Amino acid sequence: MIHHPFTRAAVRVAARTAGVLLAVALLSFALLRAAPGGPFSEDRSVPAAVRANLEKRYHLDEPLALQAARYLWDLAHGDLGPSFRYADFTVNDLLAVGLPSTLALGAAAMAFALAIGIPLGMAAAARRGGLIDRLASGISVAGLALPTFVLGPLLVAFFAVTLRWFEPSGLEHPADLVLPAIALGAGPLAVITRLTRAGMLDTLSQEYIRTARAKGLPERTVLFRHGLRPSLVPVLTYLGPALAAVLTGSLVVESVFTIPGIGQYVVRGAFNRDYPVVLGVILVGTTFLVVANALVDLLLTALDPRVRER
Amino acid sequence: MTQESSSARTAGHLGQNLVILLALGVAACAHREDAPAQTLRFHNMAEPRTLDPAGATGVADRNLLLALSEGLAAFDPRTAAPVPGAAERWETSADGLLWTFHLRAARWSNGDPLTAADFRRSWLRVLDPATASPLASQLFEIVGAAEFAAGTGSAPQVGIEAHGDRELRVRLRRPMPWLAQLSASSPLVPVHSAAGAAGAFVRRERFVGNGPFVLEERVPNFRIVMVKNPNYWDAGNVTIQRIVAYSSESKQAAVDAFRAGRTDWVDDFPSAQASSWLGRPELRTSPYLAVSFLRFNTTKAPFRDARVRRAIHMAIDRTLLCERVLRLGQRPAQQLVPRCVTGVSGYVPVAGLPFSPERARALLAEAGFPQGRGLPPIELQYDTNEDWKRICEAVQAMLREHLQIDVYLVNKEKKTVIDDEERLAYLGMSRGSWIGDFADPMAFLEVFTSSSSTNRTGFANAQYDALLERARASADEPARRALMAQAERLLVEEELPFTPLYEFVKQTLVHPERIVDGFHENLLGMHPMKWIRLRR
Amino acid sequence: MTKPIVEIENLCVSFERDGARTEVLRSVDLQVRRGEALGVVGESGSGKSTLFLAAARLLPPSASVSARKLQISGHDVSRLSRSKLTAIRGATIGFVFQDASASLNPYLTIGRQLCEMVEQHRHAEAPRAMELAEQELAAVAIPDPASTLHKYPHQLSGGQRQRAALAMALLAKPAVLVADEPTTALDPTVQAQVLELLGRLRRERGLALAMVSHDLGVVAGICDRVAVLYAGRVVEEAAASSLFSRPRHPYTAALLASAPRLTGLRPSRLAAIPGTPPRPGELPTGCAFAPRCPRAVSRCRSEVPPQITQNESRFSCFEPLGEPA
Ligand SMILES: Nc1ncnc2c1ncn2[C@@H]1O[C@H](COP(=O)(O)OP(=O)(O)OP(=O)(O)O)[C@@H](O)[C@H]1O
Ligand code: SF4
Ligand SMILES: [Mg+2]
Repeated sequence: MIHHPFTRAAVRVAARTAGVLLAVALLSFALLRAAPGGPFSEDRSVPAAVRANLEKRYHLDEPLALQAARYLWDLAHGDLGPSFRYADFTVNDLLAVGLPSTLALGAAAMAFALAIGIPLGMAAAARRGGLIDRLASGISVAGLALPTFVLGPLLVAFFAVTLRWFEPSGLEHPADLVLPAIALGAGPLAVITRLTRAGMLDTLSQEYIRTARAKGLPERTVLFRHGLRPSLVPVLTYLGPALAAVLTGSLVVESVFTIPGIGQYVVRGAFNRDYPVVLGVILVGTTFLVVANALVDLLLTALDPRVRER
Repeated sequence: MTQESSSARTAGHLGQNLVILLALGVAACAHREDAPAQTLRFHNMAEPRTLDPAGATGVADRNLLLALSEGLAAFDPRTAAPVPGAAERWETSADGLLWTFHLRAARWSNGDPLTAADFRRSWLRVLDPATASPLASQLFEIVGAAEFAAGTGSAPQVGIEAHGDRELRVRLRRPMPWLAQLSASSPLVPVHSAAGAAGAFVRRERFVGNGPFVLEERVPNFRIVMVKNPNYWDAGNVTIQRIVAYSSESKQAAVDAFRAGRTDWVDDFPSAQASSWLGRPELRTSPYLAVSFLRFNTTKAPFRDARVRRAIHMAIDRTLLCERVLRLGQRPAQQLVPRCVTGVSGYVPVAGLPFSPERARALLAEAGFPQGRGLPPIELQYDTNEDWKRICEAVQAMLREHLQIDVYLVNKEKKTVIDDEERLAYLGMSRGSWIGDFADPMAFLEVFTSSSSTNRTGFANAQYDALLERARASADEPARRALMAQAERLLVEEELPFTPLYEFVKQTLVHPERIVDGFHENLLGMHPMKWIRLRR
Repeated sequence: MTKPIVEIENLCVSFERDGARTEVLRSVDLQVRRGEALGVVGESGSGKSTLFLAAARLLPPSASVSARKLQISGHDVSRLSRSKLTAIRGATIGFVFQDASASLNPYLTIGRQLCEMVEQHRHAEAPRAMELAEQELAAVAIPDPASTLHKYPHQLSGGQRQRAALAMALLAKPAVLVADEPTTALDPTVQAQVLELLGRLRRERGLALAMVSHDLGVVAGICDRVAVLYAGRVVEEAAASSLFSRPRHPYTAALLASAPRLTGLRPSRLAAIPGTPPRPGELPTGCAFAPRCPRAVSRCRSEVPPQITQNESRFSCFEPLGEPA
């Protein structure tokens, strides 16, 4: 009974992912190549003969269409190509090393945002106008107003440099994730707090909550069994955009905290004209987002029985 | 009467519990042991491009390569002059065209003996067109080298010969007084015969070197860990057991880590940050073999006219620039070759044209642009960087003040700037700089020959090229210096395809209580880690 | 006379909204006695629902409630501890609300929502609770009780949902069931069926019933006694038979006149009464009904008519109909 629609959904997701990936790959390829300069433009200009040799090695001397075809062919075989800027590594190497860090950072940031945002939003809604509510609205204003590239250095200055509770940068210990996760999760935390609060307020005003109370259920049961799930629907709907925000945010956070993830390669790779690296990261990120969004859809379906029917 | 607010209490408790739990978790994680005493941790700028000597063009690459490998010569930590390395001595023939290096008995980190053949193979590898090394031209004075690199010659014709295991002879077309220095530099360190295998410069089990340290771990854009190499010939003089070199583009992160006590040394950090460190014992600045300048596009009006270039040059107050804007001991440059070369090469750079707004105005008028009237719009492009921005703004203000010229600042990313320069597509001026590969004027002067791909000004002067050719051919050092001085004078007192601004200093942050000895400033900004002594 | 299950004396309720207070119940006295069926009628907004929500302390924090007496089964509701309060809600006073599609939780199965009632008040755990829930669904005449347990509210028809809501309230065996317009959302045939069911169950189980409705027809079929609410006050209360045959208050009379002769046809929503009920907070001085009252005299506009009690009935009017015998 569950098996059937799930398989269908999985096939649909896979097809959609492949289509999106192809489009993204071609578009990014074209955009990257449109930028002036090349991977070998350096302060020390490479003599023409050497440049010709380098371009030959990386097939950059071939027509663009052929290069694109070659890229897609390799891609289909799971090979994302060499890195120009990090010549000792292939893009697969870089991703294999970087992806776990990025995922750990993203997961930590999301965990932080959810673990603080949901209870905070609930508490704020339950005691509307109270101290916690004001705290929550303060936090969500700050979280939205402070961009990551400001918050990150602030956290470092205070908690790492002044107090020395944490490392200012790097990822050598799980605790090193705390500050970057806070910096990265602050934005989603703000939104999740707001959404939970609004969702909870909306839910608490629902008649079925009054019914649950009228049934003589203890408040805990009312809040968690009857109130929580519906309140989380907006939060869950936001998870897709939140993951996208975390993924793009990690571009900045990884730079600020020197986290060896893959986010840093997007901007830097573009500056370096390291085409395969940028493409590789974009493709991995896109895959991740498409799959994550599909999972969120599934989760939403599981959460709301009325959606499940459709 | 009380109304329904019990939901508030429940959720409130939940929130409190979570906050407490999180705080506990954080506190539990926050403490960890410090690094052991003989571990050197430093910030090594951006991720190296490669640890392959043939491709290693950056300073970060060089810093690591010289810890993992050692050339025939090595750098003296105080002066950066060449001292015996893998070779215990070397001699030069009277005409300067034959160099003989005598290798000491040494081993690779895996225990294999290190031989003259290893060096020959490694040097040829830099030249091999298949390697496509951007550094190949550094060896072009070796007999047959340029031909081999261009694909017209062959390896056996190159004048690099191994005689037995312990002697390497190098035959030159023209003298190369800096060959000993060059042989200490990163492009000429030996590469084990197994190099070329996938991951040879990444994976510790594949990496084989002959330096004081060996590769232990490499995480791109994060850190490289090296440990002491017990097979190094001078291992008895190495006290550091372990080195963690952090790489990151973020200079702020580097400074923060230093301030938090997590690194002992920041190899290079931006002068924009330096003001807050001025006067502190951690900040060390020293002259650096590098010069900053603005290129002119000499193929486009108005900079086709050397008088306009000279006018611009003479309207820039470099003393003011160094003292008010840069403030870290940078020295004004009216010439191309940094004055710090004198110590190693004996060359005294030329004086160049002084700051003189009156003469600048006269020149401009003479060129047909009195008070700057009639000049087309002039751009000054620079790549994104806080320092460059401040410098270009200062220049802009000076030109407005002294010549009534409006210069438009254009900020571009680096590759675009370089691309514009290579295609000579920039409208006016472009910020640039040059770091010498070795401490000889030639390392700077050759940049502006007509055949140099780094010229990027469109400047081509047969007389200049000829002077340098003659200098190259000369085995007589005073005569060679005189020719080079003549060339430099032509370049910076008449032609000025660029206007020099200042000689760089290198800024490092060094923890005075951690690094107690063996760390010196020198013109190459080279700090051989073998000599560094940490507090016990 | 047995002790009333619900005793309300001088109940005043006001809501605070945007800093302004509006009184929606003004010194209301009311009792629900064991086993009886009380009808509470009044136009929309007259405060019918608020009355019983206040009795179970179910009003939101924006409401302020005061009363001389507010008791359920002899317990002073305003002083009850949280746990006592939850014990009384459901188990002593049960609720069925107007729109079951909104008052049942859409995220939980019918079974879950029924079982938690059993678990909470009858301390029976899973299999037994399910059994009881199924029995109760059968008792409210839901066709396939076993499979209904696994359904979500939106999978049931309107009538079935209301029956399920009724079953849910009944599962805790309350002493009094507050049915707040339980059939308004249903179409007439279903409405009649549910009403019939409600009446039958009440009689079978000896359940007290407080039937809140704006529809006199609905009340007429079931209730022993009727209280008429106008603008937050009980304007008349009497045994059903006497109220329908001889209303004393002009408002009651108007209600009766506008009801389609209590035929069970859909009432025309009291459209026959001229004017509209006053908005709370904009009450006229004197009798609140005066602006619409055909019998109003000048005094009606300046003085609040006192409550006149005669035997088992009472009303508040200066010019009542049908002088007492
Ligand atoms: N939570 C609340 N906040 C503010 N005002 C309220 C609230 N609940 C009810 N009221 C107001 O109190 C008055 C009485 O409402 P109540 O729901 O008791 O009326 P009712 O007689 O049940 O009407 P209906 O037949 O429409 O259900 C109305 O004017 C309503 O607007
Ligand atoms: S008191 Fe006056 S206005 Fe009010 S109902 Fe009676 S007659 Fe009408
Ligand atoms: Mg109502």
